[in-house]
Amino acid sequence: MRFGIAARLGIVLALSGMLSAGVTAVQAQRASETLLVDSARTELLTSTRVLSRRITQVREDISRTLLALARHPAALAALDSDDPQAATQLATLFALPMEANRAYFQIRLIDAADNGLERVRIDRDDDTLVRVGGDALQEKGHYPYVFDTLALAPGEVYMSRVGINRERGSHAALGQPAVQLATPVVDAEGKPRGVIVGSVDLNGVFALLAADLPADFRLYLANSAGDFLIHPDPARTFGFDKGRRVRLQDEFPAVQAVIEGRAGESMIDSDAGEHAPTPLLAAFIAARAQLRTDEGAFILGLARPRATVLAELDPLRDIMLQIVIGMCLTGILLAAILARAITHPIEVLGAAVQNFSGNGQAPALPVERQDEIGALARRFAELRTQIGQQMAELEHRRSELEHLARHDALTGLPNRALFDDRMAVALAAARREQGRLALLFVDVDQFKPINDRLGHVVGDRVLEAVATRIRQCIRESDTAARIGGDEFVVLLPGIASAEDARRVADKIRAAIDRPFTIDGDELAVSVSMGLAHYPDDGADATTLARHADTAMYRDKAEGKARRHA
Amino acid sequence: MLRRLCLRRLPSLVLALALSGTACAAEVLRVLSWPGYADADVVQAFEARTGARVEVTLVDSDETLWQKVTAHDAADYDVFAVNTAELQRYIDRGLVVPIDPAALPNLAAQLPRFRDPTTLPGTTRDDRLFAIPYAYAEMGLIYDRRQFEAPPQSIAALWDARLRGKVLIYNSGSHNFSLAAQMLGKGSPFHLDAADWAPAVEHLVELRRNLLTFYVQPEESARLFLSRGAALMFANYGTQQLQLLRAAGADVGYAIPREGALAWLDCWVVTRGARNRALALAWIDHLLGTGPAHVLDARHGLNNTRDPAPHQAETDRLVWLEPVEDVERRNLLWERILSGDRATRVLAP
Repeated sequence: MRFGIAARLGIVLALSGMLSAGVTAVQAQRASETLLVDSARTELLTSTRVLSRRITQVREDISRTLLALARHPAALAALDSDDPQAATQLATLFALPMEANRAYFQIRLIDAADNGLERVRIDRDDDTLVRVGGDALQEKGHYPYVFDTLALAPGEVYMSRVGINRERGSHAALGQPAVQLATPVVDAEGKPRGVIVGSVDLNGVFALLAADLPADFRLYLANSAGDFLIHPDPARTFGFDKGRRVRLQDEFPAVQAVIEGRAGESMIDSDAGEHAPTPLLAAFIAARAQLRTDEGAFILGLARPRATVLAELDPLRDIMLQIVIGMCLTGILLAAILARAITHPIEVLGAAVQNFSGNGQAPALPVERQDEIGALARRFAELRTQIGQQMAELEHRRSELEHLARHDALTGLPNRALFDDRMAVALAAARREQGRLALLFVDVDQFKPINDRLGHVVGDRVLEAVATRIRQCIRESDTAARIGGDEFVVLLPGIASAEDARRVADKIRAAIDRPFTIDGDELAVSVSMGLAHYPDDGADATTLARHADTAMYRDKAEGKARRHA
Repeated sequence: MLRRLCLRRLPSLVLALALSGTACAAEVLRVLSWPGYADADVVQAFEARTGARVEVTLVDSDETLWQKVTAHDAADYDVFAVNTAELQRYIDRGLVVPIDPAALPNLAAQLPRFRDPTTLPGTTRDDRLFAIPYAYAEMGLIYDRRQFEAPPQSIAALWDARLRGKVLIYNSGSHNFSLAAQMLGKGSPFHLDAADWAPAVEHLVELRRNLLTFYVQPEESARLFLSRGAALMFANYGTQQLQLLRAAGADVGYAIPREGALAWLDCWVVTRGARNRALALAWIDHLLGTGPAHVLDARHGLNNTRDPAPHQAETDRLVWLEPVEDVERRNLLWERILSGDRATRVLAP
């Protein structure tokens, strides 16, 4: 029962501790997740904007380089005179930015005449720069980066569409995603004479820009139609170049609004379709280049797996878990203490009940407590006191009754029953020890006339007084009993000889022979006595009693004779 | 084939359609089709007429078609559609069987140019008819009416120096060498002899020098034509490009050059594994009827073989595409030409 309450209480307290800690932890977790996801989205959007600005900066850097080259006198000189010295000087100038910036695949000077023949051309080939010359120079007049650039005003920059470079002989650029930036070279009359074209490695630029993005960031770039130009899976890029469309809006339907120009940017939770197993958080923005191009807007995007964003919560989750476990353990401990606090007084009360009837030391009850248990203990203590008193009284009555049952009510001497017991005990002892004992019958002479003459009250007083005197004449180990109206008997165990018994009898007779004073009247009383000895006069109580009785009647007769004499 | 692009807007997944409510004991016809060739209403009409059930599987590329037909030696399908150039390898492998024209009453309603197998070299082999023409499109010339007094008569117009920087062509090695072969006056533009390569390359380098630029997509061609003030365009996508330009407000015309316009022709063929050839032929005959033919041009913008095409004269010459002698060489040389190499370098080994 005690275990039951403690266990139940413990379970309830521990469970409520766990529940409250758990609910708190779950709520905190949810709130943190929402906060974290929101801030991750914002961070993605910010990073995308920053990336977009950096792309613009890179493009502007390249544009400035190309403009500087287009304005250099060597450019016009190389076109004008087909001057080998000017061409060589220009080639050296082309190599400088290409050495500094690996994003350049090529820098070329293309003539507006001769079908767009290349005049000066530096290609990147693996780690080296190659100057292409002679027969290997190609006619590029049919490419938009030539004819569209020639239509530009001085100082303007053209940007081609982003595509896979299929121009044979272009060394490192062949088969690579590239974009051409170009600006016209104009003569003194403002007539376009050629173009400076920089071929830029799309992946190289983005690899550089994305280098300091966190490892779990995924970069996407799409053209204005949504065709992927950059994708974590390179196989999905430039699908249009392979005769199929792999589009941003098919993978991220929510970006449709950005592609259609209805929104400038979009923050996305992508958790459907192919992203169902690993949901992504993503941000996309439309970036429009402020120059002459057919490309329209680019859609730039960054994404992170939701799981890695939420992984930042792991330490918090661990702490939460520790708190929950701590609170559970505390709950269990508190429950144990509380259970003990409640069950201990109950246990004390129980022990008190158990010891109630026995003589064991009753434990102290917690009566000083001011709570319900204190009240219970106080009531119980009262009850215990009451019951104790009643028990004591009952015991007293019982011993009184027992005394009455074995003693004579008038004289207080043992009655026949008690006397018979003691006689049997004394006889057994004498037999065992081969000792002796004596039985003395004492009968008050002429008692009836006293009763008749002086009344029962006086008669009783006489019997009391006789009993008192007999008691005064015997040892503590002897027993005097009243066995009839005026008959007494004395058991003298452990006597040494018959003479000892005779002396006791004489002593009694002498004591009774002295006059009694009752209510101021002197009264003379005599007794007759008969002695029987064990083992001389009999071996059992009946024989001894008969012998003593006979002796007493003989004494009575002799006494009557003495008085008459 | 690139002409398929105009049909790719249709769902391209391979799907099997079970459209008929006829009893399960009904005969089943297994059709392998391009999108637009076996629309649900066309299929239902056939099922209602014959009581057979049609299972349509769609393909969206020549490669897929080849894989499906060859997978179990043509045993998985009864009838399929294929162009005359592609068809040749199916005949070579014996995957298709000859067709008896007598089983196709609707053949009589076809235009004369489709009734005479001799003008359709790809459809016959050893005088046996293997394929029934069904849909086609030709690659004509689109010109700006304001820049032409009369429609161009010849593909030579592409080389016309007066149009320098105003010509658009399609970026394809095969087709462009066929154009060069036509310029060389070859009997078949698909077979260049060893001696033809150098002059063909010369022609194409000259063509390149005459170009504004080249295109890949029909939309791209329309945009370039309009924004750069082009005058003449080789229309790989035919009337589809014409429609795009007209929709954009361009005053353009369409001409079939006297050398003949390259044209693709899709035909229906019966497989070696056909379970019921009569039913397969009934399907082909059904498609030659007025209803399906009308669906083809009205719904999908393709020419059918019954009605005269709107931008052609009966006498216009069409040159049905055939496999070229060496597609890899054509493509390699074209890439060099496109990249701006001069003729000597293009022909370098």
